[in-house]
Amino acid sequence: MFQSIYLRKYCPVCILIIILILLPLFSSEYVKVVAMQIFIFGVFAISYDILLGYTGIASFGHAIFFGTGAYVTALLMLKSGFSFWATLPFVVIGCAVIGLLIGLLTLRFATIYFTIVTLALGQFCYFLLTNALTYQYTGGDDGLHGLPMILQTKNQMYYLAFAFLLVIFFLAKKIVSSPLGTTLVAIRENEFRAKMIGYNVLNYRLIALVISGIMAGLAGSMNAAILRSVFPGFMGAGTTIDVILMTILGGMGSLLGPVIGAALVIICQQYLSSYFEWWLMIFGIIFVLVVLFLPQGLISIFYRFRVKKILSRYEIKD
Amino acid sequence: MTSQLFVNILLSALSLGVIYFLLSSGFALVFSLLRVSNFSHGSLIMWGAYLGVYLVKALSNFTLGLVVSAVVIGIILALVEFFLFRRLYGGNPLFELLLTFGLIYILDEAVKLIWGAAMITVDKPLFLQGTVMIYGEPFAILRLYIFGLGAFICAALYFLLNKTKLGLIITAGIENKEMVRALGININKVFTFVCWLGGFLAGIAGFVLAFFTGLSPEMGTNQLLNVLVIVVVGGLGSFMGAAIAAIIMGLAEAFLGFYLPELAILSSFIVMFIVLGIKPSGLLGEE
Repeated sequence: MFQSIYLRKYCPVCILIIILILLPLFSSEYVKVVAMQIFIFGVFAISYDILLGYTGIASFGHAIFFGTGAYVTALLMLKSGFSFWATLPFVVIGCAVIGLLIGLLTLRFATIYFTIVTLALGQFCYFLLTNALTYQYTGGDDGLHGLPMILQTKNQMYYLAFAFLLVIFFLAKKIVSSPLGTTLVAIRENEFRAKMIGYNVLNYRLIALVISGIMAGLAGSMNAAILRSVFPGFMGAGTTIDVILMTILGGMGSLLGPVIGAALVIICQQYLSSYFEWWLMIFGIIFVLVVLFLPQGLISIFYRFRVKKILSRYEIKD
Repeated sequence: MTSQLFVNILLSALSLGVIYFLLSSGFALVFSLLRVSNFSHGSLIMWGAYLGVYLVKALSNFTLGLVVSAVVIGIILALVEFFLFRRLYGGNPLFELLLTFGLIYILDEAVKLIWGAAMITVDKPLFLQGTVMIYGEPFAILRLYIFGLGAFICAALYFLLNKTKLGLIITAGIENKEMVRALGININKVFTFVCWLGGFLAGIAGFVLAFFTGLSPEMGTNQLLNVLVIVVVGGLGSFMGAAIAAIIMGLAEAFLGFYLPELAILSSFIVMFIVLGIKPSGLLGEE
């Protein structure tokens, strides 16, 4: 019986994976690029979800990590001639250090302070990137271009990005179902009680911020490798806003939700924006409705439906 | 630096501070009572600017247009409170924040639909044009007018919060909502009123801002960060703290802009990090 439940549970996912593996064989270049963006931002949204959905802290400066990853990779590849893979350890270390700094600086504030201070920090980093003083390194508003190709063909890049998403997804799944992940949820649900039991709340939040920061940084450097250029917008408020939209719309507190949200937002950005001038307004209305009536995101509709179906199938027989 | 120049910079710094005060006062008021960080405040400011300029032209009366538009903006926020915020009280404050975040899209896109996305310049009315001589330097009458407006609003709010019965209820509500409810006062009505007042202040601030930045759909959200930084520096929940922080921000920006122009854009962050480094709860915030 349980095998059957698992089969039913994972069957749609398997079909989706197979479709995505076969996609490059019959799709246009443009679709591939959009799909790669979805994979990258899916990872970025998963990383944000670990922070928002599982730990319950709303950062409005998450693009700092994304931008850091992208710029570290781009600078090392262009100025020092590193290969893409050799830059990744630097991305991990850089994002971990930044996560620690931001966390130590801001996590002692209450939630709303954290949100505002991270928003300000994000803008601060954006100004640092576009400042005249750093122009010679970062290219200012123009960004950096002409990164070397890391793989020969578009199809290989597609599979790399897809594999990247799958690896991070299962890694994140492992993390949130580990004792660490459940502790984070406990802190989210009742900080005071968690403190009384003896958990060091600040340390756990710091760990969550660092893990989430590293994942976001990797997504950023992957984005730099795929687009072969970086822009200051990677670190701007727009990127943070995108990732918030993805996580909330898809469903925070579940790992599949943010990926679906990423797909939804990017597909809308790419296709809807050319038909409706005011599609953002519809987006805003949907966003407000989701926050009011579906706080667990669009994926919760699917979960509710499925749980009911499975229960009705087995409970009555037993 | 001559004393003449110093006085001139000081005056523009103060008028900048007063504008910041107008921009952030509504946010601080709403936050202090409702504990909702209204991210759509910037969009309400922008609406105040567009509607104010439109109504002044339509009604051909400066003061009437300003007041009517501010009242309408207040009603928008009061309706949002009545229909949307009210569903979320007592839950995770995160959702209130996200809700106001979604409102930004709706309000900004609505402006683009009605007035278009292009930038519109705003002409000052005749009685605000020209300059007066202060200490041997020319000083724009518009800035003097803003001083007056800021002082008037600050005094009116001070009077409202400290000398009236309603202000007493609001102040008590900030301290302890449950107790106010237990005393038989319908605090939900007070919430709606405070939201109306917050929107009203946003409307006035937007109208004033329009003379400096012109009308554009981004004008409000561009100011959102300044507003948030000021409120955090002043201490969340402290109205007077926000006023002081606004003046400090104005001073920092004007003087830093004079001495180190490259860093002027970062002035608010510098002030924020210094203040929060010394006192994490802000200037007048409770621990």
